[in-house]
Amino acid sequence: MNDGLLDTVMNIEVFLFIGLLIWLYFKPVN
Amino acid sequence: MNNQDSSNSSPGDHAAVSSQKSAFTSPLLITALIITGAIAIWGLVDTGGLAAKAAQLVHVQFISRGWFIMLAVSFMLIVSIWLALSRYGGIKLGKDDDEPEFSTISWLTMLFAAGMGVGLLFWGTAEPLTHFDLIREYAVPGQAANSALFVTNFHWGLHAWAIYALTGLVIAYFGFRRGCPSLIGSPIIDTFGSNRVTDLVGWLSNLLAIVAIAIGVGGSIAMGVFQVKDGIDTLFNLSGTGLGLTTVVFFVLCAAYFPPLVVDLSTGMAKLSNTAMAVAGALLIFILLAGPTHYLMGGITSAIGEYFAKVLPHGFRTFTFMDEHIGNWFQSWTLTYMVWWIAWAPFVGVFIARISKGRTIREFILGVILGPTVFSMLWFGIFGGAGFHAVLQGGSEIMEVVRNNVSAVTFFMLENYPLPMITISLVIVAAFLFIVTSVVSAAFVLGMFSTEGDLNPSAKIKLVWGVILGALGFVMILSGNMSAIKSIIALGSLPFVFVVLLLVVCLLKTLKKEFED
Repeated sequence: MNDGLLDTVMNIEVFLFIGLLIWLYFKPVN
Repeated sequence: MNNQDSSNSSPGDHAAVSSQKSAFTSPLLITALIITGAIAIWGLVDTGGLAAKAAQLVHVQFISRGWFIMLAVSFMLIVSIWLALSRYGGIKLGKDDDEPEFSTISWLTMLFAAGMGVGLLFWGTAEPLTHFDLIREYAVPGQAANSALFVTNFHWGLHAWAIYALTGLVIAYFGFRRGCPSLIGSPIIDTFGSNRVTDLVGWLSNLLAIVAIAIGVGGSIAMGVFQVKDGIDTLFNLSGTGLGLTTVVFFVLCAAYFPPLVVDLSTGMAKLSNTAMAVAGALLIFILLAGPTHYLMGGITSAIGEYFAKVLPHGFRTFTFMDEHIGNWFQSWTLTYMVWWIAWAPFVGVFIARISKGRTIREFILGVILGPTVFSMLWFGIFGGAGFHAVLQGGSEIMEVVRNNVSAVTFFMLENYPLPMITISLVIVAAFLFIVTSVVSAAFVLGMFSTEGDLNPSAKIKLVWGVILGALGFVMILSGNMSAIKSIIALGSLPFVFVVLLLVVCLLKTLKKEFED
């Protein structure tokens, strides 16, 4: 199993990516 | 997947397509060639090492991010359905007065052709029976057969086609309506404006698309070659031909796909793939009529009900609380399939975008997700049902073949039907045609992507891609088993999950803006 640091880092990347997508969707562009 | 013709028409008609760069100066092309070439060379030198490393990396990814992959594909299906039903459904993929280039019937047939690759021939009977073998440890045989068919339909159904539909929709919308070059990265630049960051992300997206396509098509070459080789084994009662015959089949295949890369045979290629489709359709009808017809139709009817009742919740299932046996099965089948579709998405997406100019978003999505799904359900209902019939009527021999040599299952089944020599030859011919058309189309799309959207990539570039695809296919053949092939494909396509989701955001944002303006 992927316990520990690697698992945490890989999931944090996913969370950040989802956050980025939500931010990009609402970010106004000219 | 096939008949991506290389005519001059489509996406870029409206595009300010990039300047015709001289063949090998594009940094994208050079980087893509280095990456895919390095994987091919690694595989040729140390096949076992590559397969083991791929399996290990994919396993780590699947454990940590399996939930994300399932959430992402379910999200794509829900977004597709929502887009079709929303106010955006009436928007045309093209100018407002553009009309569809193809009649609805021929459009749907071409969609079938795109989805009806060598995979269906390969897995038609083998996949439902493989799941059945596992599920019957947990359920009574009748229920296990039902569940096995449901899971197979799930793998080939709405979720798979929603991935294709959204990728194709993004390419078609930005290409036909907004006049962007038909590259994976151009919606990102169009939506957020060109600057250093978006240019880099767009470039990386193109690169990831190229790598995903090259490795995905390499896997299909291997799968097709195994299928053809086992067909020849069955037909001539050979055994133990091993790598020798496989290599011969592979080189015959290469000899068949190289000439069309040099000569522009666009209409010829479409005819080849239609022939393959017709052969596959004839086989389907033959099995239905020559086999236990009421049994097969009964199975299909049950499967349709079960599928539509459970498909959405099943998309969210991760089997987290189940035992390791089921967990491994989930990774090596459901997750692997989902990333496999993602690997094919840029390739199939470009193809279905090209044939869909002038359709509305609603027509596009409903056609792309419903048409092929229904066809796949018929296919697996008939080929899988025929397999269940053999097993549940007391035959255990076919299960031995399923466990030991998955690519021979279709042939084993056909041997128990009338006219086996003819049907087995037809499967071999269809498999061969499907791979040739896939490779030629893929070389064309790869040539287009790697020259910044040039709609007529030179023969030289297509040939280089033909060689790389062949080398990747050969590497996967050397690896010798389907699970190694699946790992290598999954590894190549996993990063593309992020790109597809980013493209969906671009699409939603631009659609909203179009309505507001």
